[in-house]
Amino acid sequence: MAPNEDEVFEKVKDALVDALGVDDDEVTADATMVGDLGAESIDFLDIVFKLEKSFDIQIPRDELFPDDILTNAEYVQDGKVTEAGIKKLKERMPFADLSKFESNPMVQDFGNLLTVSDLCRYVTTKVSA
Amino acid sequence: MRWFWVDRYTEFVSRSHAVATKNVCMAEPYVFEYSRCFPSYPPSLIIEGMAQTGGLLINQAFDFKKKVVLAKISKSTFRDFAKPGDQLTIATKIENMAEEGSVVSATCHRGESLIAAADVMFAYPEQQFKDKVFFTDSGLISVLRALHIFDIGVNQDGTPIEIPEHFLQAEREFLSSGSNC
Repeated sequence: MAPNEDEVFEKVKDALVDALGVDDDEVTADATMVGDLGAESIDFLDIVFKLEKSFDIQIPRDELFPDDILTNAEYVQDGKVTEAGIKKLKERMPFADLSKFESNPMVQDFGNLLTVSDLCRYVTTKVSA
Repeated sequence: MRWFWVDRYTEFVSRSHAVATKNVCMAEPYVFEYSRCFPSYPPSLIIEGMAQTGGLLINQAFDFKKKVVLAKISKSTFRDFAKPGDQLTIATKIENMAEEGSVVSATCHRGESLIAAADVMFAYPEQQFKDKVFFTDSGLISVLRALHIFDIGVNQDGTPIEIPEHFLQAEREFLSSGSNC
């Protein structure tokens, strides 16, 4: 049986506490992975490994971290993601709320987009698949 | 590789696990100098031993062609000090291995007694270090031979692991150059 919303959140929280060395109470639904929880690039791979193990799922790297889009000249101009790029990101990451990012889509800010609830939504789509 | 944090491998199963021993010796300067009142092996060097044991295990899985570096210690616990005269057994097991990085779980025992445990993460920063040579093939093969990896290393079906051809070639060139081992 697929885990419910609370169970997903608890397991994601455990993974983040383990991977990032943060306290339980720092991991809130709205917390951003980079800005609030201090995740660095190597941490994301650690988090992916922990989520894969905890939920028994496979996480293709480009689904959570679409570097191929963000480094593609077709989708990025002058450090900003183009409309076509935003469309591509939305297709790739339906679990993420891109509304704030869209207003000033600087590539350098993308890393700070993902929140804990985005991660929970993503995991839920994988365990329900 | 200038520093050795393990003395020899005693078990090496490709893509699975590896065990190495480290003899703590008073003659090592950092053992005596780390704490003058209480000679002991610095915990950070136990972590280095875990990283070396697991790092070569990961590196062998990629035919020793990747630049494998210690990237992160997710968690570590230390229960006791390692002291001069102790023989440490460092065991590592691959937990995850991917194109971007790997994680091994590691323990360090003195006999039956657990000294430390850690999760060690490795990255392969090929781009950042593309112009940097970490080890020459002839240098690395001499280290691997000294650590007995090819004497005891096996694949998961029990067959011996093979020395990569690029190492053998480098070794032949080194020896034919008249250099002194």
